[in-house]
Amino acid sequence: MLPVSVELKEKLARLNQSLQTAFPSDSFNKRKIRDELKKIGEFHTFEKHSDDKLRKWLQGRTLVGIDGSVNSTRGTPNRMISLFQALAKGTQGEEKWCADIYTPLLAEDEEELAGQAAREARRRGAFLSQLEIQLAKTIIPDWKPRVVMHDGSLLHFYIDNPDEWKDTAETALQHDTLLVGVSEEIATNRLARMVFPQYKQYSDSDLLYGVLEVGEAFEWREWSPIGSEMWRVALRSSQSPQPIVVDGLVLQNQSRYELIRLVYTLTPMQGRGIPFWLDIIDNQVRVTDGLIQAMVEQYIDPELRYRVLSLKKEDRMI
Amino acid sequence: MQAVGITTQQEVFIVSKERKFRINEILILEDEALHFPRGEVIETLSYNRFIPMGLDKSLVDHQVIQTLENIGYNVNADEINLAKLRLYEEASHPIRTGCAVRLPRFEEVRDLLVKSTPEEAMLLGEIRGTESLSSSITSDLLDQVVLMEQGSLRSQQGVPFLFDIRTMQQYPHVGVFGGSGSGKSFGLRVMLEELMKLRIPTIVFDPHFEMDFSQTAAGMEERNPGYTNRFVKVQVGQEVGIQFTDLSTRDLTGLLTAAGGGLSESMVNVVQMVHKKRDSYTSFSDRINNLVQALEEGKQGLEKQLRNDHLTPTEVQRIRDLQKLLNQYSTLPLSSVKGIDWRLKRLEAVGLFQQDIRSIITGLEQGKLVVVQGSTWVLQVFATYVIGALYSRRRAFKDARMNGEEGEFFPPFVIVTDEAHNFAPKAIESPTKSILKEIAQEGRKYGAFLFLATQRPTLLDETITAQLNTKFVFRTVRGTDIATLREETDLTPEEGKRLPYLRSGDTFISSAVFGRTIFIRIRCAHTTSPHLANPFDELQVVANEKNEKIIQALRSQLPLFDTDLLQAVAQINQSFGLNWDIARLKSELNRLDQEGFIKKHQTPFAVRYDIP
Repeated sequence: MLPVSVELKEKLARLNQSLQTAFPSDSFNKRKIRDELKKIGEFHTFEKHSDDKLRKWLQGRTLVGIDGSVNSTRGTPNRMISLFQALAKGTQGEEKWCADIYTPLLAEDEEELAGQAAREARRRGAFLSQLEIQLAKTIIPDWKPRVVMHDGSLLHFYIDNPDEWKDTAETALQHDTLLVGVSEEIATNRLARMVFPQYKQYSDSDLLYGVLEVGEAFEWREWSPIGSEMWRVALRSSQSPQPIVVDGLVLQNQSRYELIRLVYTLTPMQGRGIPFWLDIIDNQVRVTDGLIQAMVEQYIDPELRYRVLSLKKEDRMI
Repeated sequence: MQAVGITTQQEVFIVSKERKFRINEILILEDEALHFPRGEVIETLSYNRFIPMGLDKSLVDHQVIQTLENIGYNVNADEINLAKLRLYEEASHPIRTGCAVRLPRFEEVRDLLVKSTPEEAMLLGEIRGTESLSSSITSDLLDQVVLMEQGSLRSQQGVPFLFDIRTMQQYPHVGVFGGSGSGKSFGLRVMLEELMKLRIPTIVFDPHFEMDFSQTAAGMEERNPGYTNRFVKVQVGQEVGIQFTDLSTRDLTGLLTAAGGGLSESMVNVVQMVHKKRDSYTSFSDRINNLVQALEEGKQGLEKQLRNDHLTPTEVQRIRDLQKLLNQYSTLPLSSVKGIDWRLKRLEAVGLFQQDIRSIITGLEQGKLVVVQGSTWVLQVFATYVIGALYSRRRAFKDARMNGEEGEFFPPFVIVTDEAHNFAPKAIESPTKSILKEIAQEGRKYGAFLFLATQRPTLLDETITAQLNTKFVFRTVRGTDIATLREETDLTPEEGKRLPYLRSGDTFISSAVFGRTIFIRIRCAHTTSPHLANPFDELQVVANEKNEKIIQALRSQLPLFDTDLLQAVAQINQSFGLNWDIARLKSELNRLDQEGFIKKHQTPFAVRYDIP
């Protein structure tokens, strides 16, 4: 038996009760939610592409997936090194890597300690999306792909680096390359606000859980923030009840259904609903703890490593 | 190819993206500090990280993989091949991780694989996992064998396996183990062909009547050197038998034991008392016979007979003889004497005492392979005698030589038998076993060697098994047998695990000569067993022949009315040597009608059978 305190057990049981009240199951009635959603948006059902059709649609051009990864050494927020890696991989064998490192250790201006951790985290996110955008911008003219598929929402590029993103989108339009973002987290609550204004804590993903059929998508024109110039669709691409989000450029609006079908086609029926191609890239690009440790041990002098980077709790005996 | 992961002094993992490893192939590690050690692949694996096993992760459906393939990305290209390599000789320190690995050239590994020349050694097959050496193999070893793989013949691709018979002087005796259908019998046939090629005097006990070498196997016409003149086939009770006068009391006891169950103490006593040196079969069996009679009559019975006035002098003499016999052996129990009597008669009934072993001796002296056939129990009886006789001849010659005398030459020889567990069973005393055991233990001194085959190594006497210095292990399914083989050979746990799955004709050779286990495929035999025809095909053939004969018989009689059947049946019986009555003829006619060979017409007056 696990050694758990009785108090903890009681508190958890009580929490369960409170959650039940806060998220009453009768308000998540599938039919009711669908009726509500129909008022503001549209449901579409998609079929998977046949091989022939898909090939024709790709016009013999490549399909590129882009994903990035960041990981840091373990340490206090300003005593760490972050490693960034991004990979663009085309289905016709193309591969381009991009990498960078960042550490607050050598930051010029002294910052206040308060809120530093959160700021660092945001900075890392922005850093990574910048890396990915740059990568996209370089490969589009070189490989002239039919589609560039990002792991993660395009919206988040727009938020992190609006200027660079604009450049990249223009490059894509010039080369007739379709951009699409696939995100496993919905991470917004605009839709929930619309449907359930009375429940402030509901998010869009709570709302859409189990509402869509496999292969079905829900489109609501006003989902993306104004100014972002993007379409945004929730798609249940696998048997998992939690839908994913697919987004793209409004200027490539006419191809959006084809892009959704592409995402659906490349997604295994079991699993979390992300195209297998992106999983392959993710697997290759991921900066694992082992990789960080090995790299740091190889290239940072031991003295510096112990003085600056290492945490005492890392040396725990058991 | 390179070494990865944790290495030890004995084992190392090797990875390759391009090349699939083959089990048992030899690789060279380019670790200069260890003088480029060589090793053998003992386990192979392939892995694709993008297609994980669905135990803790979700499955990737085939459709997605195919779609990706269709638009140009081959997921299979991300496959990684892994092999576990075991070094032939332990290194002094672990192999350097990351060191490059390469395929060897033939001359770099020749010493590990080939220890003789094809002319001087037994050419038994191809060493598995040596295909990659084919380009650098030296010409003297090229195209030595033909192999049967998946039902079709193929030429040699790797290095041939040569078993140097001369090493038997040091490491005597061969064991051949494997379940039914494992290729054991074919393996044995190939070994016998090679013994004939080398003109080694050999005696084979063949309870299955399958060791005939006059029929060439399909496709082997060019390879078969012709064995017809190199073997003699004899049957116990016909061409060969036992010279009764040569038997010592001990031999005779052994024979009688083998003839039916064990002998009781008192039966052994009977033989010891009654048998005399240089007894012929007649003299001995008469004596036993008379003794039975005498014991049955008893002392008084015989005396009563003597009092009869009408006896002729001969009859009197006979009764007196019986009395004498009775006086001499009165202590022997009747039942034991009777037991000896019926055993003796059983041996006589198969003609065991009508011939001698001269043809076997001649055959061996001519360097031939002598096949001795007979049913299992007769062979056991006979083997006890003949092995003992041959062995003592050879021994007498060698001993004489040792003492500086001339002696009569008798060649060294090889004894081969299938179903060896019948001849030398574990835990049961048998006369054949004691002589085989003796040869197993000291035969090499005199140049007598054993090739023992069995599908039940567990049932074979342990002392003998331990003396088999070279063991061929074919597919074995039975757990106890695998355990026995693991104990008796240097098979590794990995190889032990492979035993139930070996292909027919693939065999591990655990040999003291090589000091390790070698995995080979037995070559295609040049000759074929006479029993290769399927008995069920035979049934079909016979049925067809019979049909032909009947149709032929009837055709000559058609058209035939059922009023004329009596006449017809007589004629058919006469001309075709049959013995039918009318009912049989009618039923045959109806059957042929049903099968469409003839046509039956019903008319208002009679039934007419006609050509269809």
